Amino acid sequence: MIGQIIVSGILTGLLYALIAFGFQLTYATSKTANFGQGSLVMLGGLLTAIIAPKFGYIAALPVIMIACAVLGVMINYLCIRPSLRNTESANSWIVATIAFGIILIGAQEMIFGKNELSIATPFSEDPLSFGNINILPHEGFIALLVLTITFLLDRFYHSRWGKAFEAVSYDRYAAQLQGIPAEKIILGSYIASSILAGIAGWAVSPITGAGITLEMLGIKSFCAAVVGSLSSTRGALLAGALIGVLENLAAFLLPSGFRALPALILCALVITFRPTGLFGKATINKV
Amino acid sequence: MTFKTKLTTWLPEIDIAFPGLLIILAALFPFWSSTPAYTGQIILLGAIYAIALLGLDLIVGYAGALSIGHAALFGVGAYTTGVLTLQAGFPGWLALPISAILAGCAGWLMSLPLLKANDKYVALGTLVFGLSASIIFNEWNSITGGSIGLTLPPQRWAGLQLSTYHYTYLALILLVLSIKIINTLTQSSLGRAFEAMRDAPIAAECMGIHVNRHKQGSFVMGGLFAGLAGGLFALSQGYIASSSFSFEMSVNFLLALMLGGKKSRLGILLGAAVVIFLPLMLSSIMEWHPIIYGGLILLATYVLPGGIVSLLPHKYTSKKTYIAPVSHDQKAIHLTSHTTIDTSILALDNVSMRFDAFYALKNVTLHIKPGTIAGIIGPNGAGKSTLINILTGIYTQTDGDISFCDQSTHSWATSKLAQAGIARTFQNLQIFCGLSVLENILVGLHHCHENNPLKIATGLHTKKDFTAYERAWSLLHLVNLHEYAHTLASALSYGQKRFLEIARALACNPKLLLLDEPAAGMRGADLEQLKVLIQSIRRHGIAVLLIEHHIDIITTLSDHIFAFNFGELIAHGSPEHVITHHAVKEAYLGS
Repeated sequence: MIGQIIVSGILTGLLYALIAFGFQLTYATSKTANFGQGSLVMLGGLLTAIIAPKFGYIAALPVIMIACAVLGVMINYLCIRPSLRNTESANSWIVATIAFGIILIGAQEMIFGKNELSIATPFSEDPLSFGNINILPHEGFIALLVLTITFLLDRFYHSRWGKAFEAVSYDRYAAQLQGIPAEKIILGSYIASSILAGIAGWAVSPITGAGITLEMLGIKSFCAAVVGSLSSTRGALLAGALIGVLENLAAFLLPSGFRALPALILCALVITFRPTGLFGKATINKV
Repeated sequence: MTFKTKLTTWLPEIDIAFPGLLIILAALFPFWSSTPAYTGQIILLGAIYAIALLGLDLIVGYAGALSIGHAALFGVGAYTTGVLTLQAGFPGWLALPISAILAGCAGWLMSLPLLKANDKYVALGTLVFGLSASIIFNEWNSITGGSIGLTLPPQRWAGLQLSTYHYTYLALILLVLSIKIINTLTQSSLGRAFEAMRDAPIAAECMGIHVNRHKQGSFVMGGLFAGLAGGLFALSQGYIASSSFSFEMSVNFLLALMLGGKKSRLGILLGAAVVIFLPLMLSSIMEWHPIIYGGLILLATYVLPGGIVSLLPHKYTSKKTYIAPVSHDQKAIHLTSHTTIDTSILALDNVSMRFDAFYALKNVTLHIKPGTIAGIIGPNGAGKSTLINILTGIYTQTDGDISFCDQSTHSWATSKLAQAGIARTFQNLQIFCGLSVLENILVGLHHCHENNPLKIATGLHTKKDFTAYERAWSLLHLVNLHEYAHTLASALSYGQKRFLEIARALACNPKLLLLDEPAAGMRGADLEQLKVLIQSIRRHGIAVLLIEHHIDIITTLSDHIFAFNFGELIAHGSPEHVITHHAVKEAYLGS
């Protein structure tokens, strides 16, 4: 039993890490993040529910990526750029992204309705058994997907563009003087971050269904990003897994409504006692 | 006392008259409303929200933190009242203050991330706190009743069965009291300290204001108001369910504050009205709610950052009327008692400051005697500003000992060093832009005010304020800024701002004054005035550490010059000795 709790916790946690990567990308370039990221995860799920039955599961992916990219551009121009350009409203992006998230959720409920939609997995429904631990093929697919993206992101951070990201995060103006188009890089990070959230919604919806519940993934992943460290992919993976396991334990021991509580409390403790994140310093792979 | 009436007109008139009129109009509702029961309920809710918003305004508007979890504090108040009256049989009038206090404690808990994290993380912390609280409210069924809710027993106070009418008037009375308290608090030294730390936190810290403690204080006080409002909400509605204290409610509170206008009582009343009337007006298009709410928040953030209040005329034309005091008994500069002591007031022994592998200061030993001027020279990057930042506790040295007045200052906080008698000015000006010139000086005089919020709220603080106020005028005369006393500090010229910083630093009664390039950007008559001022400061027994590039100023004023290069002390002694020293010449001109 405990083995099952840990393994499926880690599998859920990988998904949190995937969304957390998006927070890390935008935090790296502009020290900002989209507090309404959950709405994009929800969009990923709902678009899958609409498109997958007619055109197939894979066909939903490009549509989601394009839709999220467009929304990422909107978030950047509506919520982030005005705040970055005006030092007097330096933190107004927080409220602005929350507001954008609320609008996006409202719009989705108007368009798609409020019901949870279920989606068939393209893989077999029969779990693979390893001893007394069961893993759904779809869960295995998610794990592979997340690990691939992690690998690609790591490669990216070590590339020339990754260095440009790093430069913009240290000092936007100095980077601009070096000929790095800082505002475009920030825009790019928001597009990438939004696409990652959409992919997460696409990946998870066959297991969880699509609807407002996916929205909660945004804040849980934010917790994973903070707990792990906003500057380390490995930290986000570990923290995501930790939160996933804690959640499963809480669901096992407490009434189901408390499920989300451990992630939140862990996050609050980390912000209070170790704001750099649990795995902040231990990693070589600094962004 | 004419003085007192003058001191209490700092608020724009619009913020005294209009809220007063609105509240009187609301109190007369049985006479003008055709559906008094319904109107009474609306006014009741409006007053409750307004009380909670006053608390949020302290946190967001004055202290400049961001709280996305205010509904949690509101909820703590409501559930405390609910549980106390229902399960412990407390009467409502007793449960209310307990609710406020518990919510104040919750506010303190919510503010803990302030100790280590930056303001973005603190905002995230409030969001996480709010979400956790709403999960607990929703799931801890045995205490909170969860989504089904709690039904409170009806209240009977002194034989009187309380109805909506009574609650409406109770809420209005509590609202008036709350506004009164907030007005007093925000016009006091404490309110000034809040605004100062919002505009320039490091400078506020150097005035002896413990910034984090003050921010935490704003959360506690904000919690008190939210808790009172929550308790009143529970009593008057007779029923509470977890949906009233969710994330959406926190967002509503923020929306109300931002849309109405921060730092304004009228703004809060308008904001509360919007949050109450908006759902009523939009009841036929429920599904549009999130989009409209979100749109309004975006609008309030970027299009109308001052809120509705900023659209009204006269908001900024009202002048803050301080009058100049008649007497000039107060000496501008306080004599320090250390003039007679012959030992060093400041002693650095082998102090080093290392950033990774780079030494910004290396094995620096220097001693400064009271009543002398120590000049610090050196090319850019010599470590001059690092030295000042270490002395004021902004950095902690990686090696070596510093003692001030024979006490080791290791790991003292900036505000503690300031209180001990180290004041400074800044190379890059750090004035409190949103305050007037006089108020800037008054922030420096923070230490001679009554800063206990309880005493301020009860009006026991005014006497000390008069002395501080007279002293501030003397300081303004000293630096020739008395004509600009009521001007916004941001409107002063560059040179005037430099003098303002010196006067503000003198207000802290320093024993050691650190001047970081005071003459930068000054010319002609200003330079002469600066020299006279610094000499007069020395005559009062204050030790001065003067960083300057004007060779003329540094050689005529300094008793002793310390020359730095690449973080090392390369020469020190009398001005003649140092400026002819070969190492100094080499540092500036090359060999």
